[in-house]
Amino acid sequence: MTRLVSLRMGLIMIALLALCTPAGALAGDLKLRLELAWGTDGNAPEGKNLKELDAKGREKLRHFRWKNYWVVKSTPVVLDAKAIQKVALDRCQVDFKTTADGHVEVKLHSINEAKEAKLVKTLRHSHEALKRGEFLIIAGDDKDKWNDAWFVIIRADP
Amino acid sequence: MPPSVKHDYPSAADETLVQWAQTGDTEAFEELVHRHRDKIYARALMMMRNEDQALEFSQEAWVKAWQRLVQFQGDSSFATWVTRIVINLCLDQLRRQKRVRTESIEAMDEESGGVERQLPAPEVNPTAGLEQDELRRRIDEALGKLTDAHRTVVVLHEFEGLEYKEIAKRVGISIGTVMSRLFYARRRLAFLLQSLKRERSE
Amino acid sequence: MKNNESLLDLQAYVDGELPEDRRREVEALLPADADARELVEGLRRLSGLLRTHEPAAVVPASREFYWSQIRRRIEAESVESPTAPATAAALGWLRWLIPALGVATVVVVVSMRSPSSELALAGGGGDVTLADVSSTVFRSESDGVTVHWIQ
Repeated sequence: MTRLVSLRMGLIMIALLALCTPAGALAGDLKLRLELAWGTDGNAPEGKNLKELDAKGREKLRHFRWKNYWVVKSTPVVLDAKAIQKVALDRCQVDFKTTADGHVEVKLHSINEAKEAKLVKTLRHSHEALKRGEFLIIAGDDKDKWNDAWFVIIRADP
Repeated sequence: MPPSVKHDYPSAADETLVQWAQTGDTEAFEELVHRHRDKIYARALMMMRNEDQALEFSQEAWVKAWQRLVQFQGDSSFATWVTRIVINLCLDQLRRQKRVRTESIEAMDEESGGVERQLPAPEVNPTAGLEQDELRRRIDEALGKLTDAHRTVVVLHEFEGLEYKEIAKRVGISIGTVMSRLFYARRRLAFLLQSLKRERSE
Repeated sequence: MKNNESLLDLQAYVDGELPEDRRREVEALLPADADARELVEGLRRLSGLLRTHEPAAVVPASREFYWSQIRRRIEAESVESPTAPATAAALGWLRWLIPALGVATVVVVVSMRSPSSELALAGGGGDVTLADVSSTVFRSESDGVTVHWIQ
């Protein structure tokens, strides 16, 4: 009897562990979507086939004054606890690193024509907050176009 | 937010007025508008060649200047800063307006290297003997005969003092195109000024 | 110097836009090329003429009327004046600040006068901006959004 109970307890524990840690999702793993969007009052440039930012994204940006937000690039990112993820966007690169204290460290680099990376911004955001669905946005004025702005949008990818 | 102290607006320097306006003082801003309205309007008129549009865009520029006032850091003069705003408004409009026919013909002239064949070298002193106001009027008339594309590069280079690279960025063309348009426009202006001088003296 | 490229080089020379080595080349060639010298002189004269005789224009409206049009548009487009954001109940004022985020005093005013404002300086949410270029951070708890605006 004792052996059966032990075996059952063992099986129950394994089952519980499986529930807590689904396959392929170790502690610290986080599925994100990284987007580079362009805020402008104008239309999307011809020939580039840019899609409009989705409704949820536009909702988060509603405090800003631009009429349109065009997605220049959108890419999924899976963070794990071990490695640094480096993701290339248009003329920039975003590095993600999960820290031991429950944060995600994000580094934004600009990439020049010679493909050299220059660190622009380093910041940390709560891993849990991102997982909950919060948006983390890095943005700035478009230096080439007077009235426009760029947005690097980081959010959980369902 | 009304100012707690009555300021002497007409006597205040632009920098002081800007500081007051940045705290919400609309009277200070109105004084700035009054001081520089002709210059901003003139620039819009030079680019658009249409009084209604110039009026519209100059007013729009002032509205935008108010909205962005906290961004003004004093890197340039206040008037220059507002001038850049009105120029951008005009550039946006010119992009929307397509005057294809005239521009195509002149573009072909430019690209085919017809510049040299068709236009004389600018006379060393094409406007000798003219009164200042008359000269300004003729220059204005000559500018009006350029296409939007050619006039734009002349305005940005000759009157705004922008470098080729900056013009290229603002207008959205290559530096090579800036250079060829500017050259063509200058040759054409010289030709027009000489022609106008001959007409007047006949 | 007759071809198009040479003509544009001469223009660039007049405008001070030639790289140093090419500028020296052009200068060395000018004494022997009368046509080139004539063109350079003509371009210089024309530029000088344009810059000293910029066409002027006067706004075809009285001071009061012109200003009233501007003021009406400012009032129509804003809830509050752009530099008095603290009294705004809604967050529409932010439209007039962003991207005017280079002015730290304005942001400080926001945080001091509107502590209950939803969109305020990031504080204890664990969001930290490290090193690098300066930026201003805004955060809305209810919206679940944090924005780092790069200067």
